[in-house]
Amino acid sequence: MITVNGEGLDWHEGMTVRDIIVARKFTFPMLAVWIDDSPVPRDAFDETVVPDGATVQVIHMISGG
Amino acid sequence: MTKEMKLIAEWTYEPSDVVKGYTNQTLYVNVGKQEFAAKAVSEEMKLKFTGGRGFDLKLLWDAVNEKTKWNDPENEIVISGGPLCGITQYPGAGKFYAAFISPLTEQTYDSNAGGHFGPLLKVAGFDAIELQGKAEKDVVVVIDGDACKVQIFESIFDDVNAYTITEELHELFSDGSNDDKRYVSVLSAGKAAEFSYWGCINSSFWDIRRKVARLKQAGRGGGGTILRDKKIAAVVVKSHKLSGDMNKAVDIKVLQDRGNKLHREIHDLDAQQCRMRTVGTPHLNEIMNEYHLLPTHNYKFGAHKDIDKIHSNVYEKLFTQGIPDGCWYGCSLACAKAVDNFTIQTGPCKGKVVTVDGPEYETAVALGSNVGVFDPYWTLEGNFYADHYGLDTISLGTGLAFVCECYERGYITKEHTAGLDLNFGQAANLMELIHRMALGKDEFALAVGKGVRQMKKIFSERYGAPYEEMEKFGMEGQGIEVSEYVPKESIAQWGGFFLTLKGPQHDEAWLIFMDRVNKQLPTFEDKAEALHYFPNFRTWFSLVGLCKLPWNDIEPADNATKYRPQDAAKVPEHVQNYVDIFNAVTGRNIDKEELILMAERVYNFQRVFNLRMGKGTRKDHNIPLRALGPVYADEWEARPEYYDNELKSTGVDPAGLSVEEKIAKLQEARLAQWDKLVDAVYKRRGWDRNGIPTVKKLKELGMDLPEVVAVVEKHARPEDQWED
Amino acid sequence: MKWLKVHPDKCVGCGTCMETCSKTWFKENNPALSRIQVTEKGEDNYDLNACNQCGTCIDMCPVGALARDGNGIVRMDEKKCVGCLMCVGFCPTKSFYHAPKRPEPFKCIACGLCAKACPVEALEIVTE
Ligand code: SF4
Ligand code: SF4
Ligand code: SF4
Repeated sequence: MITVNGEGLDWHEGMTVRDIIVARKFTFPMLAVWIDDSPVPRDAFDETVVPDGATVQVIHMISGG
Repeated sequence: MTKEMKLIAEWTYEPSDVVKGYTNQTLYVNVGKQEFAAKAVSEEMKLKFTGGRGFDLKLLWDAVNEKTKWNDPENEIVISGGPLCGITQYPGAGKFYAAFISPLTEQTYDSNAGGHFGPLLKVAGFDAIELQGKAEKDVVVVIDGDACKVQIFESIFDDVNAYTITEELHELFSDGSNDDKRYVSVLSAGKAAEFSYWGCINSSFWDIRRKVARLKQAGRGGGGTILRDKKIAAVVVKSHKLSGDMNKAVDIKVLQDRGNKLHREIHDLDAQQCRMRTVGTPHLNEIMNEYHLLPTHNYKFGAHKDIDKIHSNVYEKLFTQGIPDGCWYGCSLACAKAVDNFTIQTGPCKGKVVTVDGPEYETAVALGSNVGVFDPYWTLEGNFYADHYGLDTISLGTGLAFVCECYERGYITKEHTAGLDLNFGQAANLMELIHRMALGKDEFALAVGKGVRQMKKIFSERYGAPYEEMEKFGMEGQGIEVSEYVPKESIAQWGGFFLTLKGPQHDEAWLIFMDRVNKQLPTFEDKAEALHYFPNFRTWFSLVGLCKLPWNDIEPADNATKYRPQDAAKVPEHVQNYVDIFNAVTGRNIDKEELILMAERVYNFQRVFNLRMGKGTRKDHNIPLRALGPVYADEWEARPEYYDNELKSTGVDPAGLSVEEKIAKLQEARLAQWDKLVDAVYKRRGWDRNGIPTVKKLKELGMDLPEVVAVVEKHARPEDQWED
Repeated sequence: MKWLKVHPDKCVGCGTCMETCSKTWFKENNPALSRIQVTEKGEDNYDLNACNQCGTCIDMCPVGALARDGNGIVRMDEKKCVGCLMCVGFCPTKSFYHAPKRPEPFKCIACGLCAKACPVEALEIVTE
């Protein structure tokens, strides 16, 4: 189990940042991802593996509109 | 060339060169009395009001009194670009801001547009223009920056609709060549603005590649309605003094370096980020649908199965690609998209092949999913006619959506609508209604054009429609229609829309993702902080003449990893760019904190201005129930699990409750949250419980001008003050 | 099409080309004002960057100040230019330059003076 933006999400072995984005249907392109206080570059979403128990923030970078 | 129009009045002025972003004088034109004047801009005025919207409001304050109505001759349209308006090196620096007492909200409104009017007005010699009075017959006001003359002509145009009059005036005030027409810009409204409160101000620029006049809109608030009420058919400005150094910045190197860096960022990253250069703001269409934020059927739903028909890829194919589509020179974000060779299907222009400006996201949705039409060609036609007739596409779409829901609920019928079936999705009939709004003959079309707030009254008085029900789903705040995002899912966005100076546009704060998806604003204090920072930050753009989009619709490659999420949302590097280019133009020495202070001065001044006009208190911050949550069963049933969970999170067990009961319970909980939000936001902004800025706050900001303090003291009550 | 072809392998980094260019077009010996830029990449290893006349910038210009002349060279009408630098920011090879000396940017127009001045023939005007 991991936490994504404060809510629980089932974890599986080898789960990547991209898997989280797909599971949560985060289709917005301007995402900032932090795993336990370290940032993940946008071009590394596909290969970055998320450990079990991680606290993940998937920040949608829009505050204007 | 101008011999064809009869000159009524003329005034010659002393040219005043731009220095450090200012000409240091403003222009006053009274079209009724045919009076002209140049007013000096003091250092004090620059320090307190900065420019742009700040100058507008200062001049407007001096022009009106607390009884002024929108159609009184003393009401003004004041237009100003601000000290950065007209710089070419940094993307997004050609905006002007117009302010006036609005027919919709009966208080101050400000609205901005691109196009070349703002920069040309400045090189013609003025930091702002005030248009006051009412002419007897249609006039055209001309500011000729080459000859240093201001002229009022009797209009010779039978057709005041925007595209027609704009093209003719570009022709008339240039030597007729393609290249010379770009030294002219025209403000216009259109025929529907004579009958509707949704009148927009169109601002033109000449597109040398397409060889047509392009129109950008200061759409919201009814500025075009006032323009036509003053019998101003158009305002023309011309000047050949455009150059890369027209603002006489103290340090052009900073402008070049920051500008080029941003061009490079856009060049490298836009295609992966927002695709502004290829699709512009409609890149949001499917994204908003995915997050249940796409207004559908008058904000009942946030998503629709036919989204693919209005997907950004569809628009991408419609927009002509590869043209530098900036609404001012130097905007490489180039979101001012256009569809060429479009054949009009209905109305007076039927059969004509035209270039349609836009649609932008808001228009694509307002004249799209919100009225239940999923046909981009219909949206294009609606967009064309709204601009041409001088109607704000957002208010028009949200207003039509309200009409559709009234029709769907049986509150109005064909008997009332002069034969039109106006259910959601009735594309042809809705278009016919738009045409009728420009003809001004049919009673129903006239009522619609008065806006949702008036429609609620008229429909109940005239057709017996239930007022209290319409209050629930009539999507307006302070008298103006909500722009195109579903607010019911984010508490912070209730504030972003409804705790604003002028009503639910979205130019103050868009916090839905921060609040709802990112969960970055867990407490009311967090939400209040965001509802302090972002509205002020964005107000700053309106003081200096900038477009908001290049701030965060593109971000540096390392923005998301270099800064903590809370800071990254502000795009710190771009904020620093703004500080730097402001200093580089004006020679001042502000920092990012001073930037917010500059904005707060004007923000609070405007709040007090509204108080002076008999508004601007807590009761004026109204919010319809539909903005807070579902109102009818179909809304709940579209996402039953989601809303059951929402109800649970407020401590109510949904088990065994009927949908109607659930809706009532959720409403109750959310109204209580709304009250908490209002308190927290007022407190953070330095306002009392009634939403009035405190004298202490005004003192801190240096805005304790005697006439401002007098208004506050007249209205503030001891029982509304916070204890501490 | 005429353009300035560069042979960085021959370049010795003397800077004669930059001096010639800036003196010719800006009447000032200042490498920052040269339309060809020589940068040191490592020991005896130089990068030469001048416009290859690809024409990308033409479509970026909002005022139509850029166009090809009879020889295919991309030229700027300085009277029209409003100094927006979009041509600079979008040049694929970063060969369009700007300086605070004037609002208008500048780029190589294949006049060939630097090629004549280069002591080691690292530059040549070609037509192809
Ligand atoms: S981003 Fe769009 S609206 Fe803003 S200045 Fe550029 S072209 Fe105009
Ligand atoms: S300056 Fe750049 S974009 Fe323009 S022609 Fe030369 S290489 Fe191409
Ligand atoms: S800097 Fe001048 S030449 Fe270059 S794109 Fe802008 S206006 Fe055109």
